[in-house]
Amino acid sequence: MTKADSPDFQQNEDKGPSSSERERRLANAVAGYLDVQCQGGETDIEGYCRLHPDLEPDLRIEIETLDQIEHLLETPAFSSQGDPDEDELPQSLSGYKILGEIGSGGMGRVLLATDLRLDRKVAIKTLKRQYLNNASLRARFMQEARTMARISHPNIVRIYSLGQPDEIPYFVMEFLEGTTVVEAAQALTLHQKVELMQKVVLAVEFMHQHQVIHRDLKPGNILVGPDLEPKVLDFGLALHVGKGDKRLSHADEIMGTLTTSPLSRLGVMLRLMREVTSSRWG
Amino acid sequence: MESATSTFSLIDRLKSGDTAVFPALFQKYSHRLVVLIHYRLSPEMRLFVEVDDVLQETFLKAFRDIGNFTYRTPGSFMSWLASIADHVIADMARYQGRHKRHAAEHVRFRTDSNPQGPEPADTKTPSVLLAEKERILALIKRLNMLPEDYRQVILLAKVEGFSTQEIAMQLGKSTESVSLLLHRAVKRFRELLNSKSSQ
Repeated sequence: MTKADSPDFQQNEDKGPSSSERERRLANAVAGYLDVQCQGGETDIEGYCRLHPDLEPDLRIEIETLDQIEHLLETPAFSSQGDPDEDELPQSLSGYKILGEIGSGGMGRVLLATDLRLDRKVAIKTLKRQYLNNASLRARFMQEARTMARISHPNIVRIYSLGQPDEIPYFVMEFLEGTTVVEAAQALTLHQKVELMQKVVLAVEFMHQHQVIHRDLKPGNILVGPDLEPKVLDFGLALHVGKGDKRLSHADEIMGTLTTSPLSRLGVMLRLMREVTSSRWG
Repeated sequence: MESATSTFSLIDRLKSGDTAVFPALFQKYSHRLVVLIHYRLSPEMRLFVEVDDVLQETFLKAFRDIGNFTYRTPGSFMSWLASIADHVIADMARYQGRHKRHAAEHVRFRTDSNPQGPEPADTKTPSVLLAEKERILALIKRLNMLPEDYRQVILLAKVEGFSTQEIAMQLGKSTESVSLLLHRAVKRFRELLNSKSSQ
């Protein structure tokens, strides 16, 4: 594909035809972060993102993507932050036998384990080895666990417990068997899809009522089990805000209309989904 | 980007005659160079030149000429290695049609028959090398899925380590335009990552 084929740059002069003010500011912030790195300066994602609170979570996501590329380019033995792919699975964590890895994200990885006392499968999220000494990421990781602990809802993944202080940072969650909402939807009728999404919306409303904004709601973070029950997961970017925070007000207003007609409820759900998922949905 | 201090220190020790740091210094840049060399080789050249051959030849020339290198900025060593790789590729292109050369035939790293040569740049076990190679191939595969201008700006920023101002000068664009291009490139790269593993 050539530059001319690049959809974002068709008819592009200098700034691009559709670049909004926010996009330009986001682009400048990402470039600023890169330039600090280029000069050999120390970069702290948390601190840098705090300088641009209105660009969250997009700024953080782009910076983490840049760091992911950086990790791929670093030679593991000489990487200052280690190699995520060479993190060996622990054999066990107090009371849990590790069976394997379910998935891996920006700063954490999710392991499948057996709770030896209750004899059930659980999912354990751990902080990647290269971030163990990063105080801000450790704090954010623990914040994720605390955020999850605040909310108990049948359509939101449940947290069971926090790891021991003398082990790597981890927390234990319910193990979900299922598939992403997009894959699951392929086999569903329209009515089933609407019912499923209504459950997701109500789960999001529940979060908002508890002052939690997910901020990373996307198909990959909604699993659907064999019983067609959706579960919202991955609170790595979630934000807990105080009452009266402006960021909750719009969603609350929308949710306040949910008891109206089925048609308007569908419209409300779509509007809400568009709001909470920003541009990354579809 | 890499730790400037450690790179500076390693170069300083190597220039002082401490050849034991050679593998550490060059392995540190091997992944970046592999990606860079891959994209500097034309499709035709890839038929008769191996990336590994260019990499080894580049390392050997850098080892021999390290005395001529002056550390100026954190990115200057990578730029220097890139320029050597360009020369190596140009030299190899002149050999096109003669015969395919392999690293072992022309690279004089330390072997039983060449005990005075420098320590091989790669001293890792085959399994580690294979795992690293797969990682880089996965990165290249994703980069190949990007539009050309997106890939180019990511290569300039992350592989060659240029600042947005330097990229702007190279591409003849404004820094704001380069920032937007980079932002959109990273966003698209992220989408590619997400499409591979959705959780």
